[in-house]
Amino acid sequence: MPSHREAFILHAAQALQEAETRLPRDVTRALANAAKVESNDRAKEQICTILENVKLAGAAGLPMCQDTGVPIFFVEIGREANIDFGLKEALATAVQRATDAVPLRKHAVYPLTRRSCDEPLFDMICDVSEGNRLSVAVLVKGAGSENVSALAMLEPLQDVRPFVLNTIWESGGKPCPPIIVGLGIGSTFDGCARLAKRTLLRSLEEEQSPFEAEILEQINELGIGPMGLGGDTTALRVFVEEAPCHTAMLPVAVAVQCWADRKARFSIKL
Amino acid sequence: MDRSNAMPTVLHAPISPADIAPFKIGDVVYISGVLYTARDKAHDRMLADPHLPFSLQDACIYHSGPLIVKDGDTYRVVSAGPTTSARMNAQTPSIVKQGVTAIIGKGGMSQEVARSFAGRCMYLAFTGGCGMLAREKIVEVLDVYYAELGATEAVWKLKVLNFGPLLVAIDSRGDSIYETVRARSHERLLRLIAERKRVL
Repeated sequence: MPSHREAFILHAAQALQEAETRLPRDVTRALANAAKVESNDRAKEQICTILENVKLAGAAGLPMCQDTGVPIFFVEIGREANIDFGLKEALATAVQRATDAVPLRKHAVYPLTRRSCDEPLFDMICDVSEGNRLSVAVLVKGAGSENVSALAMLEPLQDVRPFVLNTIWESGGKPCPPIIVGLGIGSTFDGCARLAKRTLLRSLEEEQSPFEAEILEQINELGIGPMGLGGDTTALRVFVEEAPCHTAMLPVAVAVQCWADRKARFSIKL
Repeated sequence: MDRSNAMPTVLHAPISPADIAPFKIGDVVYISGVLYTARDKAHDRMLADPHLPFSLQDACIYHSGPLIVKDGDTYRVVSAGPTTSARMNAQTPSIVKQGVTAIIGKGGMSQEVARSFAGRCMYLAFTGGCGMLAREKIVEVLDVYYAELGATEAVWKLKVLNFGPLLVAIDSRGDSIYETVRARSHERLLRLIAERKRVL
């Protein structure tokens, strides 16, 4: 029986290409709606420019942003799936192929020497589920938004809003607003960061919880606006994911995503 | 603010300090001519280099790490939007001293940078993430300097035509849209935080 490796690599490279070049419909619609209701002309123009850029990228099949970011692969392995290849190696090959084919920017460096690194840059987060499928969601994170993301170990009875609002205020125009904000509340130090980041895979059109709606409204009340130039639209959506935590802890992570909320999925039966 | 009927202003780079003087925050301009991309490492290199391979006098700096690939003997620009300018806050006053008259970037720069402009430089905001739109306005890759820094961090000399729209976000007087937005949003932040909620 032939290995599934090649099919997997093909799908993964295609998903990454799709994410980099075509903004998902939920995000495009949210931007178009924001442009309609935005009361600040300057902000409206910024969003219209973004939409024009998205159209150009889709038509040309080229990256909408030159910061082609770091792809984060969320892999769900069905426990009956027959995986006869190394997942990490296969993803590295897929990233390398997409880098050459799309093309994507080669901006990996060693963290301390800052010298160029030739290895493909990506992150992989695995979970095990039922069934015999291998399902992958890829999220592309640029540096502008990743650099303003933050984590705090709050006092157990503290209100989480000040930390969240302060994080967004401090980031101003740096993460390329309108942003999407993922909050991970609870779990552990690293657990809350993973919770926060995973929320960014959700559709912007999912129904909001009252808490999500409240945080979104408060972020937009700040008036930072698209690109930090002022306006009603600072965030398009806030996602919150909670997990139980130790009674002496309150971990909170704020994962910020730029307007280029690049995400794609695929699933194969093994 | 209706600009739909206004003729777009096109500046020709290199740009003299006299050319930038009339512009105020909120104005929209386009640039034709020569831009030099420069981000983190290029700034350090430029400031440490006693023999700059290009002149910063009246130059226009573009905060960008473009995605450029080599096709045979020529360079092809794939996507070339702006990068976060705030990372270059520390080096910028020294760069301005060397004669730079326009800086294109995204996300804004500090008040210290705004003060360093002192009538001879302005900051132009290009919409972040718009790498394809920028690509459309780049006519030619003229040269590359400090290539050993890698394609992302190198200085690319680009010939552009009607590059923009660019919003004058910090003018040569040092007035800054970012500062106005920051001050107002800070007031709102304090008010929102003051509405403290009891968790239990």
